Amino acid sequence: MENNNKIKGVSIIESLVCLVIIGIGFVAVMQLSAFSIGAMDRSIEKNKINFLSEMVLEDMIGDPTNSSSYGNFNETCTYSNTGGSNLHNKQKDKWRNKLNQKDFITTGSKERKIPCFSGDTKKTFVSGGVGRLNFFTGKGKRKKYLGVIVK
Amino acid sequence: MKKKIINGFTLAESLVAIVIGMISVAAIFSSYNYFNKTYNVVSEKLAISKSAREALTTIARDLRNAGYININYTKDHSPHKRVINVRQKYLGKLDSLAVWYTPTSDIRQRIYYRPMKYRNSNDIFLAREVVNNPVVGGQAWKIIYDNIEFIPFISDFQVVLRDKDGKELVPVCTYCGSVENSQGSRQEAQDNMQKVHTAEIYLTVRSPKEVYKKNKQIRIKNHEGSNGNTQSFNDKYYRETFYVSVHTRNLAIPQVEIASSGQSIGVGTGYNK
Repeated sequence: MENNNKIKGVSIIESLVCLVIIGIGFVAVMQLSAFSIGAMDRSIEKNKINFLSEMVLEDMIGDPTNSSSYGNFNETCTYSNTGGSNLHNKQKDKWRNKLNQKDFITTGSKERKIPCFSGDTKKTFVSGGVGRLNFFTGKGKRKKYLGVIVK
Repeated sequence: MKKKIINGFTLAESLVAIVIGMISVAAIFSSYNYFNKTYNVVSEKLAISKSAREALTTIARDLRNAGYININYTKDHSPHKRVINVRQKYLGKLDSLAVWYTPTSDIRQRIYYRPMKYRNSNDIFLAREVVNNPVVGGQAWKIIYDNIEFIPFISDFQVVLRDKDGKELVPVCTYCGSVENSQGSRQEAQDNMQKVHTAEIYLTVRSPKEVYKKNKQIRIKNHEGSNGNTQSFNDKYYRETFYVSVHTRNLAIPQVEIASSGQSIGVGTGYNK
């Protein structure tokens, strides 16, 4: 008996606790891979936003005599078209539709959109012949600034 | 006494050990599967994103150049007659786009984007063909790229051209198809070329391999007020639409005012053409 007591191993409870801790570590590593999918989605989203910002600047360049009408675009997540027959009104409505990915792809019955959160804004400014845009996405954390000489 | 000191594992202990061991092996196995799946999804999405970026950057650059005619270019006596061409429903519901411009004083290029099918397959790729000095006759014609696979696995390619008032322009072509012929005369199609102010491109890229476990119902519209351009798919591929809109600077050229005198260059109101 005395001898037996001296042989000390790991108790079952200790080993279980150890397993749980390792398991938690495992879950964290699993989340890492889920995060990588999220990162890829954000990359695609950024790619789209880049082309959409190009669209905005191209439209400003395309109408130099009315360039001042292309400023004051200010949208968050709900886009409402204003209508209007002038080119700048039409172009702004186009920006709204494309930023909202209207009529692009529908999966099942759900239209796919660029994710939008509170804090996201898309603004344009035109002054002194220079057109600028500020696109804030990802809860306002991802910022894109771009400018172009319009006139 | 001696026998009592040598203690092995009891049956219960070894069973518990086996169970725990099996759980951990299962965990390793499932995590391998999980990582593998993630890797596939990420690499497929990456392929889509990369293709789309390359495609739209190149197409946008070609559209910006479209219609530029070098003032010293003499190999073609009427280069302005072919500057931009859209053929709707070129392959299925996908459009084709051609633009012409002169990169140097003695080369005029035709860049032709065409959806094409892979051999023995229904999968579609976007081809980019570049020809130097087309329709000059004889030795000057030179194929630079012969319908090489430019963007693999596309699902949709739509081109929408608009005039300076934002109105959709149809037909705009010199290689007109049945859709264009029903929309207007050859002369109209020719005249519309110089009116193109904005070009919009919708490109839907498909993942090269299947991504989802189950079939998904996907509908691609890509053009508001679409006249029969909607496509439906029910498969395991991931698809993503990318959009870019470009001002075609060399076609409907805005009138420029001289800053010092306030006079305008060119005739007409607002636009040269």
